Amino acid sequence: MTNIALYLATVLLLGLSYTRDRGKTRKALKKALKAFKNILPQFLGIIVLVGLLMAVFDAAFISRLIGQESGWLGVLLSAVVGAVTLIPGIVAFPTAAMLIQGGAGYMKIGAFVSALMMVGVVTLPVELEYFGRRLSIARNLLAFLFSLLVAYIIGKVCGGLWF
Amino acid sequence: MVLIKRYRFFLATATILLVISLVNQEIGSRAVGVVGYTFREMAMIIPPVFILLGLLDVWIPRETMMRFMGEGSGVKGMLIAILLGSAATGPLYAAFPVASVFMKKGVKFSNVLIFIGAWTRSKFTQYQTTPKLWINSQYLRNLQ
Repeated sequence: MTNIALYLATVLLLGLSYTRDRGKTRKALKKALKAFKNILPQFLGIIVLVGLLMAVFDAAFISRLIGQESGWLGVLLSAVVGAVTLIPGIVAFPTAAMLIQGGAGYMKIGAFVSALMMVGVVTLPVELEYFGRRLSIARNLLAFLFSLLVAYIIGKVCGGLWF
Repeated sequence: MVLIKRYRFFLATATILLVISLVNQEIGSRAVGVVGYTFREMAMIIPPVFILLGLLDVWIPRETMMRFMGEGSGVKGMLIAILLGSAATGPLYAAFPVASVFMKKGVKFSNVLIFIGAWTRSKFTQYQTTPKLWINSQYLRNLQ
């Protein structure tokens, strides 16, 4: 659905650009290709790394890891697992639903999903390429801490009295 | 030689995958499956994103970007950053190229960070997939 919108917008704008100025359009495409070529090696590496990680960290393994510890240690562990894995949202949300049904606390799931989306240990090579070392590390570190904050808030909001 | 150096990260991971596949076929084939899935996902998202970025680079002058999202753009710049980030689809790694073009075009640094934050956090385009997710979770529940 969103992919269709994305492609529609791209084709539309590309066509518009082409009718306005062919030279500029060609230049834009050249820039796109060059940018793509520059980052392709990192992307390919990450794809394989993700494959390896996901083959080990499947839903069952993740739920075992997250389900084990309770309290703040469990939350911390969930955030770490979320940080090092890279799972597409469409798989991650059902996994989270499964974990909640399996009895994992809301705090842990909050930490897991939040770190999963914001912290990217696996994608760090790509991030370094664009942002440089200082910014990448700072961003990931802050995102990780923020995930813990999110976990706390979600625990308070959803958990009600039990916490 | 240059090519090998540029692709050494990929070569290293590919070698690990190969070794693991030889040792444990089950994990290996699962990994290959995920690689196929991720590759398809990236192959779908990356081309339009890079083409749009190329167009933006060519057509929108630095001054315009600076006026909307640069220093002194204030709340307007922040709102644009949040909106763009939330409307965007795709995983985190697709946001980095966009952010780097923004930086090049003179977008205020804090707005770039707001954009990344919105990209990773608020995903209103993903709510469209909710029915499918619900079915998925039903499916997963049945598996248990």
